[in-house]
Amino acid sequence: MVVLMIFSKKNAGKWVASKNGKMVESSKKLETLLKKVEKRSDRKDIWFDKVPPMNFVGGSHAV
Amino acid sequence: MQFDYTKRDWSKGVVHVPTMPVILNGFPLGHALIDTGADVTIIPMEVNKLLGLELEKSSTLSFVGAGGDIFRAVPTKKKIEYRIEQAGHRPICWKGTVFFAAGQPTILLGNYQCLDQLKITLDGKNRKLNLVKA
Repeated sequence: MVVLMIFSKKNAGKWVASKNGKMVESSKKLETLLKKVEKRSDRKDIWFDKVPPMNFVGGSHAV
Repeated sequence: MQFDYTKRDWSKGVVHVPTMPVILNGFPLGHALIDTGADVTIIPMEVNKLLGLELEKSSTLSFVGAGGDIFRAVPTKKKIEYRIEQAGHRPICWKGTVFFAAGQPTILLGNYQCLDQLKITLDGKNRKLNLVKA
């Protein structure tokens, strides 16, 4: 089974749940993702990320 | 502490960016971007629906992103806890104000009360970052 890279273009715009650096679930909404993982026995080992759109540039300042 | 950069797709293939795992008021974020160009830490509003933090709406600010788009973000009323953990190291903890924004595309760690609390060395060539509490 191929495990998708967390910050892959397929995950762009999605929330991703991962364990040990590998994706376990994804969803467009955080609430839905949390429901997907809440009953996992390894829930305490799960981390969450929001994957930005492709070609993302950060940096922002108050105006 | 030392963390590997995170691999990310972009149009010309793959890029490696400096991120670190951060636990914000108990919520584990796996790869928060070290955004030295950001004034503040900005988190997607959806996370606050989970955390239930009180926001200071009267202190909402407008921000301009790298591409010139303007968006608004709301600060927390109280400082929240940042916690960074790594096996074999004492956790690094501090408190700071964060901002929440609807539609925020990812988790960005900015300078105000976040990166200004840390000493971070970026080693782009080796795709690693080194972190100590300032």
